[in-house]
Amino acid sequence: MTGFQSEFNTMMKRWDHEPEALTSLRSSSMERFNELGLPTKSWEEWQYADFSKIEPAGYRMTTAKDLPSIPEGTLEKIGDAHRIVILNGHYQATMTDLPKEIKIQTLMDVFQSEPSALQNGSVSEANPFRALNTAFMNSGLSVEIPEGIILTKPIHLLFHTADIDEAVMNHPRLLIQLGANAEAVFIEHYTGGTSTPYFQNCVTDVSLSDNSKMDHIRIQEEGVSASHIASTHYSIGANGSATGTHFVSGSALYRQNISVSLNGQGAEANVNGLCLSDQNQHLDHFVTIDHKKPHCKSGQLFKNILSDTSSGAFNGRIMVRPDSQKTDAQQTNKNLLLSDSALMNSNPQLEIYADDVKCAHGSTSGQLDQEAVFYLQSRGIKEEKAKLILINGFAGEAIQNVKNEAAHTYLDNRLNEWLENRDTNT
Amino acid sequence: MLKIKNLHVSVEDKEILKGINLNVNAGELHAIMGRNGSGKSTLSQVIAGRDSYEVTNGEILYNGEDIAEWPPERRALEGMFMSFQYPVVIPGVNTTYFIKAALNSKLKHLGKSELDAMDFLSLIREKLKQVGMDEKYLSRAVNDGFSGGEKKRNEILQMLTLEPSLSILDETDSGLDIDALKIVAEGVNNFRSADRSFVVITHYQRILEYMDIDKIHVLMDGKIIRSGGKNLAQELEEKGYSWLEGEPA
Ligand SMILES: Nc1ncnc2c1ncn2[C@@H]1O[C@H](COP(=O)(O)OP(=O)(O)O)[C@@H](O)[C@H]1O
Ligand SMILES: [Mg+2]
Repeated sequence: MTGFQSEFNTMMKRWDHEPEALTSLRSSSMERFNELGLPTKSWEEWQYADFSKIEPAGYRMTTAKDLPSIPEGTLEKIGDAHRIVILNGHYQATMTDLPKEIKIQTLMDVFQSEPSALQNGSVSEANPFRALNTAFMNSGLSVEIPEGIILTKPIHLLFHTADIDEAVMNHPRLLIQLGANAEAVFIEHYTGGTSTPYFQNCVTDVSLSDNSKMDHIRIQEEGVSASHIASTHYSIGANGSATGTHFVSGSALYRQNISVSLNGQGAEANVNGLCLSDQNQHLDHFVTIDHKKPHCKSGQLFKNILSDTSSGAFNGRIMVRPDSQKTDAQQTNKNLLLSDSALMNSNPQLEIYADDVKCAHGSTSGQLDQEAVFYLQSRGIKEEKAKLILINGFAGEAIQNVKNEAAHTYLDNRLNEWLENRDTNT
Repeated sequence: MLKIKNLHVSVEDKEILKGINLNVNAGELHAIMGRNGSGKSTLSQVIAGRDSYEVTNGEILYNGEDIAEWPPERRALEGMFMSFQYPVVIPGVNTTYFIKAALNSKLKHLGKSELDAMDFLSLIREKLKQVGMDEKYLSRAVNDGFSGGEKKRNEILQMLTLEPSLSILDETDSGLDIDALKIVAEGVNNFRSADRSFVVITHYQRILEYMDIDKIHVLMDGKIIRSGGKNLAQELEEKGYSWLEGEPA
């Protein structure tokens, strides 16, 4: 019996009060996961990451006893935002403040009112981590912005892991729904205050109704020994628009599958990413944009800055369906290698079945431009500072879509802190 | 101000400068002319401290000090400036930010207080006017999407802002139309003073018509083969460089 299966059996006893339908969804998802197993090097779409250490770690689910005693004030704040706090997998209703018009439900509430929202391909699921998430989903939340509501303050969802002395895991399932014409900024934020290994297996499903608009800022700053696996799906209706910025600096292993489904004419998605890696980190994005309808627009800009012996991967797939004329799809991947031992894999894939489309992709990886360093030096800027300015300039483009000022400043500061801890002398 | 003695420079074991001697006093403006490939940019880059060139012999003295060990930033902070023949594009770095960082680094070095955003803006606006540049360039990334002429004006803008004592202008005139050329020449002329020196590198004599030159040097195959007064430029214009070929250095 695998580690996950035995933990699952233990959990099923604890979950015995759950509705029958949920229990059976968990069981069928666990079966699906067991069929698939964890990805190995021979799985083409997963080949660059090493998942072999996940199962042997023997992660167990967190319980109420794992709740850390954390003074409110020490949790990260990003400007003036409505904050939703999840500590070690446990939703903290008391630390959460939301305006009345926003509907927030726990997973259990969702399951009782709208079970289909969680069923999403449980049997045909090809991503083992999604199947695993459905089997174990614990810290689940659904946040709904009703039709026509325009939120002025961002919603800051903070998942914090701290104070653990055993390998624990959580399987957050987040459902974000925007009604027609609604607008909101979401900051999905993972922080870790521990060097103990833990496993975070996240699924975020975003659903945007016609004409709605969402700015999604996802910040991953897990503890150094964490494994953070994620699957983020954006489903966008006609004239809807999603802007996603995925900022990643934490965890030893990170793999994120981002998928975008442009479901209605005029839908638009701009998904950017910035990964900062050092030591032995591996940070990996797999992006799929599916142009299902004509007149849709998508943009991807992903950048990795790699130092030490860290590695990264970017795979970007653009799929344009036969009827999706007038598609505009752009993809750029640029990587900056700050060390000779760092390694980046970049792999664009275009599958275009319509003829009247505008698609472009480009990928570059390289070291700092010495000519540019000299240019700045020749103006009296010290070499170290010159390099910082250049790296900052390189990174800045990837977070430029973050229009919320507090969030942008937060990312800027994180980037600068990361750079300051770096020896850029390569 | 600048004294170069028997300077030999190699790149990847290929000798490019083969014994340059040059003496530029305070207040003087010298021109260096020469064909493409004669070593003009190599000379300016070496003076500015580019480390991909190897000085195999000779020395460069700035105000009497050997600057061999000075990193490029120290040369700049001590008052040297080079206008690049090919100014570098720096994506993602805003022009205002760049020039302000350079100026504040210099002010700090001089023990003066750094400029805040407002003071810097009023200063840079005045300099922009002098080089006929629109303010919109300030918010763009450094040289990103600038035309050839705009890049050159941006170099002169930086010179006027940083107020160097010694300015090396490497083909700042290339790619400029006659109006832009006059603006650049005028910028230099207004900037001249008894304690500032200039080395203007060009392969056309055109820009020299608008400047008051103290000395002209002809560089050929890594050596200065002829030095003279302003009329040397006219002679070169009429007879071409081949007139000097075979000249002993
Ligand atoms: N970085 C370099 N690597 C190899 N050769 C170089 C390099 N820089 C200059 N050279 C060579 O040195 C010679 C002089 O070049 P340069 O100084 O650019 O001349 P100019 O500015 O007078 O046109 C040329 O033959 C050029 O090819
Ligand atoms: Mg040249």
